[in-house]
Amino acid sequence: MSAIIDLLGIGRGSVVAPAGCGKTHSIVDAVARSVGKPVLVLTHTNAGVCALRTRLARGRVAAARSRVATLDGWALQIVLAYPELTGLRPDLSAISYPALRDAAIRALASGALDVILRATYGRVIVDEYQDCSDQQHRLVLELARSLPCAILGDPLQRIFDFGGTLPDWQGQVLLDFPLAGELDEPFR
Amino acid sequence: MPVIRFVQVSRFRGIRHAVWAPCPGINAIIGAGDTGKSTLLDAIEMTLAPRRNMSFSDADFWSLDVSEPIDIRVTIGDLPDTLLDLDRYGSFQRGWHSITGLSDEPTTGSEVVITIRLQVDQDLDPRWCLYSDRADADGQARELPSAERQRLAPVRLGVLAHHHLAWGNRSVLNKITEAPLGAGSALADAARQARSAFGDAAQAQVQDAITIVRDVANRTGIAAAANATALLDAHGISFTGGAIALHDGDGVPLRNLGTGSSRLLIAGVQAAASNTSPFLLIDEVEHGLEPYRIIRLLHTLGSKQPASTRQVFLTTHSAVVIRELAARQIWRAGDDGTGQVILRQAGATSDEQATLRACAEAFLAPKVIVCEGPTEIGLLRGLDLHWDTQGYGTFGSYGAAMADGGGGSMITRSLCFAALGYRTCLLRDSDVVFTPQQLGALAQAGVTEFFWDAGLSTEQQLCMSLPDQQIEQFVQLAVEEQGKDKVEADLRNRAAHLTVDHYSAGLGISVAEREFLGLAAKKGGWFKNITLGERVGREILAPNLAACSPSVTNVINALGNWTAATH
Repeated sequence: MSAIIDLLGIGRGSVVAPAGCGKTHSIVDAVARSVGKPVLVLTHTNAGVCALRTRLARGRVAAARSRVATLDGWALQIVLAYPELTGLRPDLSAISYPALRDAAIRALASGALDVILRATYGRVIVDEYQDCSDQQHRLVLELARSLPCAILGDPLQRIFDFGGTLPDWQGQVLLDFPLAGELDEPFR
Repeated sequence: MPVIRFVQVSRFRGIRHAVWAPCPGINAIIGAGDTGKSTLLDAIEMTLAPRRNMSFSDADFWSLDVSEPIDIRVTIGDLPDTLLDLDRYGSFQRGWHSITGLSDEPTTGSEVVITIRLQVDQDLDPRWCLYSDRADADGQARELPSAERQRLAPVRLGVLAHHHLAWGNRSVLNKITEAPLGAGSALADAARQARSAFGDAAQAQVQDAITIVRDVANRTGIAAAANATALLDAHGISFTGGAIALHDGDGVPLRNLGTGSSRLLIAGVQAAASNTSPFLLIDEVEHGLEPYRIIRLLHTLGSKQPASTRQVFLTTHSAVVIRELAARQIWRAGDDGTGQVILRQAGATSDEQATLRACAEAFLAPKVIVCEGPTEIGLLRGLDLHWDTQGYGTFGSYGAAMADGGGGSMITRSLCFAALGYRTCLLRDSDVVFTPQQLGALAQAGVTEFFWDAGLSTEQQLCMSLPDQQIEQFVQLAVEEQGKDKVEADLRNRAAHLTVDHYSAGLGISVAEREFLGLAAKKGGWFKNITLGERVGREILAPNLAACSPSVTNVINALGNWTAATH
């Protein structure tokens, strides 16, 4: 197996990669080589966002090439921008994330935002997919209806499970995002 | 290419309130004077203007009332991807649906649109921003970036269009020139060359002044001025784009072109260039152009293209324009009397198209008298001509135009005028019987009807109602226009013994003779064109109206009252 995978070549698929095997490197590489509209890069934690941004900057990738956000942060943005479509006006001092995710899924599922998504982003890359809850998985599936979508994760690394049940990796994630490659050569 | 989907104007100049959903392609606005046609164009231009150096005064507020702001909103669809960006404009994106209209958020099946709002408060300071109800409620205000504004900027083809023939700020030429014209270009070089070529040629003429300057400089010890000379001022000859202009082959500037020619040329350039504005605003499209060139201009603007991409907004007072355009390209602006301007689109039905072609002139008046045919039009015009010489008000002076009902089409034509908001009446013969449905439709549309005694055509009614003296005149006029042979032949067809000589006031004229005459005139078509009808109206009916029987005077008086009234 190679130490890098061409994420731009994936229309809809998953990459399984243990930590330290060049996951972030592949993302930076894809963003750098992308042309046209920016790549939407989603992950789970603000720390993850920060790490990705740092790596992109270190790789001298133009800021305009990507939009990096957490899954929940992106969902919140959708809910704030289209309150009627999502049917939710969140109380920003006490956000209920499950309600927020449901609202964003509702808005995306309506199809009203398809044109906007395609006009805004060239493709979606989701990092740390093993941490995706069932709701987040459905959110990404809605995005994947409109945009090419590559997900990266390490099912062996699943750690926190407070956002709801996790989708079954073999039975569900790989069905929705067929395996496109594996990174198993330690990179660092 | 972006398309204006919806325009909302509040309290701007003569418009207290107006909403309008124009179409892609050509939108020609017609309407009586002071119904806000040009104000609509101004509203669009000001809201989408890329340069924001315009100033407002109290006179820009409706009724001079500055207590509430001017508020103009222009909603744009078919957006470039940059404006569809979720992260940047998400909370400003709205939905537009051709049937349900504007929604504050995109919805399934609607088009994504954005609204640009121009607001002017009593401080007279204009503010532009992107607008959505939800962003406004959240206190979010964002301006469209300059590059986007530039892209949406409309081009205005005013009555004077000469500035478009140079590369000035607002010129079409400047818009379609890819590279900016500025310092460092050939222009700056030209300025430097002019300065050196001019040299010290001015020296001799300003020698006295130079001598004094040098003298003072020496005495006061200002070394730099001790050898002062007179050269062209570098600042005085820094050229801008406006200094470059089109010239003809002999070097004569094209701004010497006639008004019509320059407008035609510029509209053509605007239409031909792909990188110019998506919106073209034209005042008085016919200005300075002969009919054949008006038609050329409209073709250039895409009048015949079913789905023209570039949106054109124009005002017109020309029947040529109305005849040339498709009905759906024509909008009639009408004020409801309270400052609310309503825009009605001429429908796409063949009835309305036919009416526009046949009666184009009448669409340019606020009131329309649909006449059954040319005889009736002629008659009314004859009355008008007489009244005018007597110093009375005329149908025309009260804003009424006559439209040819084309006989059988008169009902559909009346309905068509009424649907576009014209105050409409119908003057018809009574020799055709209408169905209750037809009469119901006219009544429902608010069309007032005027008609003669039952069963009588206009000719017959006149023959029954004119005094003897005028019957004699009527027959003489027919003989003069149609020839004695034809008139007598038509009379004989009614009654074998009749001749022209029977119609003499001195002999008295019987009711039977009047009936025969009326039929002969109708069947013989003696006055079936406007000119002949006009002679009857002007020479026979008008001067003797009071002496006619009430069947005629009542109808004419009622028609006059209807015309003079405003509603």
